Amino acid sequence: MKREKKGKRKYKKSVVFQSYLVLSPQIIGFFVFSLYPIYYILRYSFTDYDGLKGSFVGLANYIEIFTSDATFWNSLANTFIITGMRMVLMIPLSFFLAMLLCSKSLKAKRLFSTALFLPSVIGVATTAMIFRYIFRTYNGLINNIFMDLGILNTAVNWLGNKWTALLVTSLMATWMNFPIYMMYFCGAISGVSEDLYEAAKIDGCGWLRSVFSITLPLIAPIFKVILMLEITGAMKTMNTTMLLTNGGPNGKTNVVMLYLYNLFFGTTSGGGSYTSEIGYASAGSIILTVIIGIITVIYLRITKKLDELC
Amino acid sequence: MKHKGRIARNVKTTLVHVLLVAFIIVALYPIFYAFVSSFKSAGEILAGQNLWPEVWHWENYAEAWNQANFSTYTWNTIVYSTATMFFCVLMNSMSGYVYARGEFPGKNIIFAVKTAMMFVALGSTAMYPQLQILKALHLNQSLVGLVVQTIFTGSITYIFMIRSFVMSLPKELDDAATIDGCSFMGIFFRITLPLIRPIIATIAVLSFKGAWNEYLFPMIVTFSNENRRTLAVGLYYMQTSSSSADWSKMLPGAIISAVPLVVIYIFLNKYFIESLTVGAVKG
Amino acid sequence: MKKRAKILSVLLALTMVVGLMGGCGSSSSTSSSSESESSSEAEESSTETEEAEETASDDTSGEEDLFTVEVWGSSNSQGVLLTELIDEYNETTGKELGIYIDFSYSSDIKNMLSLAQENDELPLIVQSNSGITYEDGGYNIPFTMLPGGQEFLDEWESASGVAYGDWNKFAGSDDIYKIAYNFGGPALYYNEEMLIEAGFVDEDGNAQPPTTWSELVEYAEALTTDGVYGLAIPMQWSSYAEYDILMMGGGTEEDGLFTIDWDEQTYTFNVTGPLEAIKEIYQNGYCVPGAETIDNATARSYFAEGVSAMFLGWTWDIAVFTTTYVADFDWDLDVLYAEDGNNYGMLCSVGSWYSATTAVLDLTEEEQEKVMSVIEWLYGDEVGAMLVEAGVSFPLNNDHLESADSDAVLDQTYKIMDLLNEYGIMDVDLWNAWEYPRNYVDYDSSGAGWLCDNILLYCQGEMTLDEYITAANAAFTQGLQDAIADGAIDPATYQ
Repeated sequence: MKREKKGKRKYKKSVVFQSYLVLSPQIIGFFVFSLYPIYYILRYSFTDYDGLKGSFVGLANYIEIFTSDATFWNSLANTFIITGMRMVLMIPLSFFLAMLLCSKSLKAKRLFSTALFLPSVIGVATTAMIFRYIFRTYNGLINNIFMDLGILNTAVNWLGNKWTALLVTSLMATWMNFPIYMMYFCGAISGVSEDLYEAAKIDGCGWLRSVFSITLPLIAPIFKVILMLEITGAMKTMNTTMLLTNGGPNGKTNVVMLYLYNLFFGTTSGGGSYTSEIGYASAGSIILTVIIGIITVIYLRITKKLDELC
Repeated sequence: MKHKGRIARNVKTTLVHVLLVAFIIVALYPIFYAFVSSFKSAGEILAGQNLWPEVWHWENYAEAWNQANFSTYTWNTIVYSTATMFFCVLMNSMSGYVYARGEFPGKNIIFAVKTAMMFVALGSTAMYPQLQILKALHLNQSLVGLVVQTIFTGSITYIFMIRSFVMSLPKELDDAATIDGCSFMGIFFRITLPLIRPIIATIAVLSFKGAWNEYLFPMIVTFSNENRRTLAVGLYYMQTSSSSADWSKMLPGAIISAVPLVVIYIFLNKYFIESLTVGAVKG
Repeated sequence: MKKRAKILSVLLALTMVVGLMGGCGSSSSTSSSSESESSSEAEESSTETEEAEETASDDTSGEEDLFTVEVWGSSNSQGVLLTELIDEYNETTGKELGIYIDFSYSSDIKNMLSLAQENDELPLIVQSNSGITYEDGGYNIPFTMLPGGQEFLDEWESASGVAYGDWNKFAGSDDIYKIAYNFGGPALYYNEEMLIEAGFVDEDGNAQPPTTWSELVEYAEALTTDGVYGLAIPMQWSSYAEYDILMMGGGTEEDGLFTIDWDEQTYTFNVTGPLEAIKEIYQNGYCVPGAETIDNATARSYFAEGVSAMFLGWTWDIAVFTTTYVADFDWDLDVLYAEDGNNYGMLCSVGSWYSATTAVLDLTEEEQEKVMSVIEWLYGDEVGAMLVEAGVSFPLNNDHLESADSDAVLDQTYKIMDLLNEYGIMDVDLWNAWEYPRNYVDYDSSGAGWLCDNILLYCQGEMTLDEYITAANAAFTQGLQDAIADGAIDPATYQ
């Protein structure tokens, strides 16, 4: 009997070898494509590299972003607004639909879920095209419907005003993503035992009351995760804005990621120069990552506190 | 008593159905509307008031397909998506198995680090360094580079799914196989793989869909070369090369981009949807 | 069963890999022949063909020794016309010279070029209207860096009759980067049938267009009936704000469109007429609704579809209304004058020019000569004549005009030429005094800039006329000072 040191596992050589062999591509890829970019961006954020040449400038980029870059903070504000709108639209909608979809009284559940899931299968490019098409000012579907119904008197320029454009962007994001969240909720709701509902009914609980008192608290853990995914995901999205408004009327609906992307690649979205400023953009990325990190931490703290309260 | 309950239930059932149907109509109408409009002439799209086209311009699709080179784009997207799907499935299933069943030093550390990285991701701003990496590898001008980037920055939830599923499988089969002389990975190929087929199918379908709809990085790598563009990028290019108001070309293009995936979805919808309810989100 | 699955998966993997490698190649054979990228004619550089994927383009041209020149153009209407001409070239002259032109066009060419530059995939020839010197990281190179470039420049100078100046160079460089290719100016397009119906006719019964800005408002009001609107205003197109409003505003008799105090380095715009007219049209709904979002393309299509009776555009829209947005009715164009009846000279916009990119620097001498010959062809009589006949451009090079088939040239083109002869081209110095500071004004000229933004505010009543003029003056004054500081413009030449 081999005497093993306390706490030290005995590993089978062949297993270890094969495991590392299998994992190595992914680990190498992880280092190369996920870790190296972080190093790269950190490193260049202290320079004024522009693609050709750069020199060390210390914290100049960071200072500039904090003091004189209105575009960065405006686009950050836009990002927050869109995130908020998305949350307000998407979460209740997905939850409500999940309640409907996963309720016992639904027949042909598969059929409905197939139909409801369709919006998220169509890609971003096609969705953006469709939304741009129906939200046209002149003879667009939405304007026509609203005017026929008498809700509007004149056509609304959806994509030409900042707030309506932000709203349409959020709508598009909701349209594309609600099926996913709906299914998450569905899975969570199905986990709640029927007995609880029956018990509540016997006690005289109405349907609404039972939702708030039973369903929500019990799916709270998953709800927390979904909400966090939504918030962090929304803050990092840029393809909806890029395809729908590309920064909107004169850069008004610009979001941070798109702004940074333009700085990296020297492209533009209505306003701005066509030169790339990689050092500056790297600094922006770091700041953005930190901001998202702070938000995540705050969110976790809040939810923890709420948990303790309940 | 019972009678009242049954009526209440029926009312509730009808209500649920009606609400869902109403919502489906509202949600899917834009797609339908865009599809029908894609057969209209440019002038009709601009100013016409009817839903249905006066004349069905089937040639819109032919024009988009030929003139705007959609045949190339579709082929490129198929190659790209299939390759991504294949390598994603292969890599993630093997890795998931290793994390679930393997015993080697540092396993937990590596896994924890990868999970943590999910939150520290730089998002799309990391694309610039990734492009530099591909340039250094001389892969930035081919679809191979695109596939490489996609599989290594893909979602980590695939590994989670495989890992949790494999962890739930009984170990007896593995032990029996080991006694018979099977190697560690041999167990994977012979025993585990057939058992996790549904998850594999799910991952295959999801990674295919993700690659098909991917827009940002393909844009960077393929935009400048017509032979290499994927559908999403080709659609964006078409927006700028025909005039920005030429819906009669852009709408067919948009539909063409979406149709293959929708067809696959209709036949395999089970895998699209189940992915979300099978242990993907841990409470 | 498992073995079969294994074999299948291996086969699948192999097909995948082969497909990836060869896919780019096989697909390009179908697409190269029908390529129509907006670039001017440029053939694919052979340095790029070193990549395995790119060898396909050699296959697409069919012959092993055809050198591909990739050309990216930036104008949609020109692109459509050029595609045909280039296909012809590839069949005839191209084969003799061993050149294959791979042409495509896009209006978003600047973004495309940025991405292409990041990815080391620049085309060889590009059509652009601004740029940065290659020393500063831009992708443009001066003509003199190509073999035979200097001779070409000299020939062009004498044929066009316009001496090279600051406007042919980029800031901070003495080399010739741009060549004035064509010119044009703002013009008002009108639907003759609608005007006649509304009663705006002259003695002969022909439609009579408005001649001043205040008449424009009257016309717009009368023509707005029954789903048709008087005017289509492309508020997302900054050129309309710059040129149609600020530049062609008519100005004053003494001071013209704007005055520059070279000692103080300040700008003063003298325009009020067009601004007030646009505001009135906008506020009273005489223009197509949604003016705030539409760009030039949409506005053009509104006119072509008969949704708006008039359209404020540019002279090269003549080609647009005959090729891209075909107008089925009788239409004509005219210029708008100041209230005092004067027109202060047709603009000479340098337009977009074709030039070689830094990708050419990696080629061999022989290949560079081929690129040069393509450039010469692009600036040559054949293409020039085609553009004149189509009404795309009014050439500076008289040879182009003479080569054109006079029957094929449109009536509208002749009308513009007559106007030009009557009023003359704007003074080059005056043009420079406008163009250079304008490039330094802090907005992007290819998209909606603050000019459009502020015109919108003014039209919506949130800004008074004085505030707008003050803001425009301030921005252009700053632009002027920045241009002087940057060395792009020398006040001494104007004093």
